[in-house]
Amino acid sequence: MQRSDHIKRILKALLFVIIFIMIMIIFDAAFLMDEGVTEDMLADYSVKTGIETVFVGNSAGEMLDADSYSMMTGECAFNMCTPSQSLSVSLGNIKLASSQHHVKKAVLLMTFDTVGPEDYDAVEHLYYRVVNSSSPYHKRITGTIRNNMKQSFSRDVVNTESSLNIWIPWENETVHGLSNVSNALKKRVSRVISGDRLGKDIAYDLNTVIYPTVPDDMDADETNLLENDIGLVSELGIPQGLLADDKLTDLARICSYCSNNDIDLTVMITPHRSDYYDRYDSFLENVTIADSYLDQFVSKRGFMYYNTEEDEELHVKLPDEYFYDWEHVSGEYVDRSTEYLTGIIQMLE
Amino acid sequence: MAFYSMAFLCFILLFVILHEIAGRLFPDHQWTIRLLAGVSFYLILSGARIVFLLASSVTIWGGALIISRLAKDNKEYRKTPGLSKEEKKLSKKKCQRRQRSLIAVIIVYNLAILAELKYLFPVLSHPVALPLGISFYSLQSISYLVDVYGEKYEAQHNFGKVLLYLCWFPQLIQGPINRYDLIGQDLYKPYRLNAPRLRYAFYIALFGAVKKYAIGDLLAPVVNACLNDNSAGYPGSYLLFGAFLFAIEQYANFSGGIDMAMGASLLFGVKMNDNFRQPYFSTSLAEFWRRWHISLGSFMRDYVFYPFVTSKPISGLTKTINRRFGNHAGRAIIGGISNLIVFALVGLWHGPEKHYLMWGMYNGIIIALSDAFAPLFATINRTLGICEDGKGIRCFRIARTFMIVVFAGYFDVIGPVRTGIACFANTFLHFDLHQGLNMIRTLGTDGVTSVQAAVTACIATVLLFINSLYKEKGISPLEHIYDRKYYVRWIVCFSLMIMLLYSFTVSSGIRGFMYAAF
Repeated sequence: MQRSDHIKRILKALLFVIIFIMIMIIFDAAFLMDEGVTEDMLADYSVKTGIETVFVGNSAGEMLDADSYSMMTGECAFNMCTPSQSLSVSLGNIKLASSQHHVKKAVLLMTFDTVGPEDYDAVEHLYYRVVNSSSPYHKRITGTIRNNMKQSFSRDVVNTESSLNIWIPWENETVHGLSNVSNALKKRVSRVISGDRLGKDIAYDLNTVIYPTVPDDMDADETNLLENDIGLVSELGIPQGLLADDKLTDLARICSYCSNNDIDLTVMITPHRSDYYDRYDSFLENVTIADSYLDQFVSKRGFMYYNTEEDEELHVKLPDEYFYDWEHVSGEYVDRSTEYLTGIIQMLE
Repeated sequence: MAFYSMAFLCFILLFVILHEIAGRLFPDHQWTIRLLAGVSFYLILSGARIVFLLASSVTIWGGALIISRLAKDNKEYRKTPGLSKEEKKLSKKKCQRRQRSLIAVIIVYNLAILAELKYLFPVLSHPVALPLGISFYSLQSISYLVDVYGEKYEAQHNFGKVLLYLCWFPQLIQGPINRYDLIGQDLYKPYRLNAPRLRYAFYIALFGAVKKYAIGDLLAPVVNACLNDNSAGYPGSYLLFGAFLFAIEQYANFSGGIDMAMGASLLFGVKMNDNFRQPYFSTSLAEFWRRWHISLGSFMRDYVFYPFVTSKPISGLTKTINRRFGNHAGRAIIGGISNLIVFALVGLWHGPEKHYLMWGMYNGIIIALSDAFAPLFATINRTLGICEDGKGIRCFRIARTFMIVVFAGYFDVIGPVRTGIACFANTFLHFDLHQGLNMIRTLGTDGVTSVQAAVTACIATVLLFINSLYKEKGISPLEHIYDRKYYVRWIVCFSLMIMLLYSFTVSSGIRGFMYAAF
């Protein structure tokens, strides 16, 4: 074969790879999972100064408006809740905020799904990317490669399809439905056109935050304690599928981090519609067991746990019509839910 | 280890590189890299259970050599001058007796291991992890030994080469059951990979992956919702929908996996035996079994069916029946019984559960009956003036065969035989289209599947159908595309890659290869 043929072949192969990468970039923009909510939250965060109180948790936590809370309490608060936020991402958020601000208080707003077996890998992946998006380009690439390698070759993943799909970003961040796709695309394109980047460098070494190899925030004794606690899940007869060991590990890590950094943590099960517990026949009974276990789990670590269901007037103060589904408050009633939750937080103090 | 995984990618990259280096440095011994790949793959996935494979390899390697030696000695002896015909005959008989005894011992030994691990332990409720590919390499061992006895080919002297034949890694997950005479040459010859060969292997594997993930895995949750141990009360329309999808899922999963294995094997220059030939275009169930899981079907035909019907007592019995009841009777009765035995074995090969036996018998009974009534059908066709070669009758037969295969799904998927029978009955006695459609609608609302998953699976299935249609007409779409300009190939390649990647995002979970469990 002639040399020119060789060069031609190599160029063709290169062109193939370039086109493939371009297609992946377009798909990446079109399938941005939460339509940029995490990106928006971190963009707002990056221009916020003097944060003292941080709210973390999943989308149910968006019922607490940080600005209104600040006005009512005089504390400078910021809400870092995002859709399907996992506990490891919540920990990442607390770490991020406390590394850049003097955070005194953290409120973890969660539902029982947060500590359940549901997989939040995709959200964690997305969060990692967004947090790192303000890093210098080379750092971002090396960070991504390092993390992908770590995940791709991890014992649990290396033999599975996920080990390859980790390298295709949109595989982990997919939205469904054409309207979501077009919204995501519009948002991404407008960001690129306007040059709207995250204002402050919020890049953080997430190797130790989201994908830690060792529970770095816990000393040996506490690791043992955690193991004992996790053992209790089965001893207490908590039905499988309600509490997941790995989520409890993350919760223990949040407690440990807050304890080591003098952050006052409150773990709160957010309000929900009155028919929330009707979802499954035995759900209420199971939730009661899980609730009591979580109470012990958090209290043992010196923090406050509160399930808003304990409040007998919950459904009077926040009637069902305020919710657009089981656990999310409609936009026009957020001031009411904020007022309610602020009262609870103050009461717990 | 999934074919589509980082572990497999690294494994294959490492061994392709080693294979290429070996091809340049010592081409005559390049096969040792293939052997190393096979043994490494086995050790990674099955660890110490490799002793079962080694034991089988030793028995068939040694056994085949002894059989060969006995035949050679006998031939030499018969050349001795002055031997009478009687003495020659006696010597041949003696030799054959020894050979057969040895074959019987080795086959019994290999099948006993298979039976103990695969059937006895599970029946005694002590399931054990099966050695990788035991159901496949046990049959390969038998075919090798019997063929050496039949002097189809010479016994292989090199133990490493016999071991390679049994542990060639792409065949270990779910077959095919390769034949030594068909794969042997490729396994041991030198081979150099180049761009077109790499591309060809990649396309085959890519299309296989699309079948497996974009069809098989997307349909699986729907099939599981429709056909399960509690399906007895479901309306027939809903069950039929599930069984119809199962037929597609099963083909996509199995043939997709085989294609991926085929692509991996081609990287080393080893063309494995074909396992499918557009089975859903079959005009009869017997033909279906010549096109579906070809390697298992042909094994059963060559090493069970023919030896059985051509054995002296059975062929004598056939002649007797023919004499008494007419020429077709012997074929129908003996053929029918043979088919029942063969398909009972095919069912049991899939596993010790009763429903597999039932599934095998279902196939066997239909083939036996269709064979028995063949003259009657021919007479009816002649009387009605139906043209046997017409397009219409061919389409009808294809549809009829497909439906027979679809119904078989009830016994293949559903564990309790009673439930399978109830589902079969419901298809005819309690069809209830209205209730069935309502239940199908709930599959989306209950989160079993999504519109995206359904659309992706539909598009991929249409592609698979078009591909099969072309192949049925003797045109290979892959080679057709392969001859086109590079940008046409790229468009096809990118489309398939995007479909594959997208299918992962809408999938509710990855399933393993169905036949890997066998």
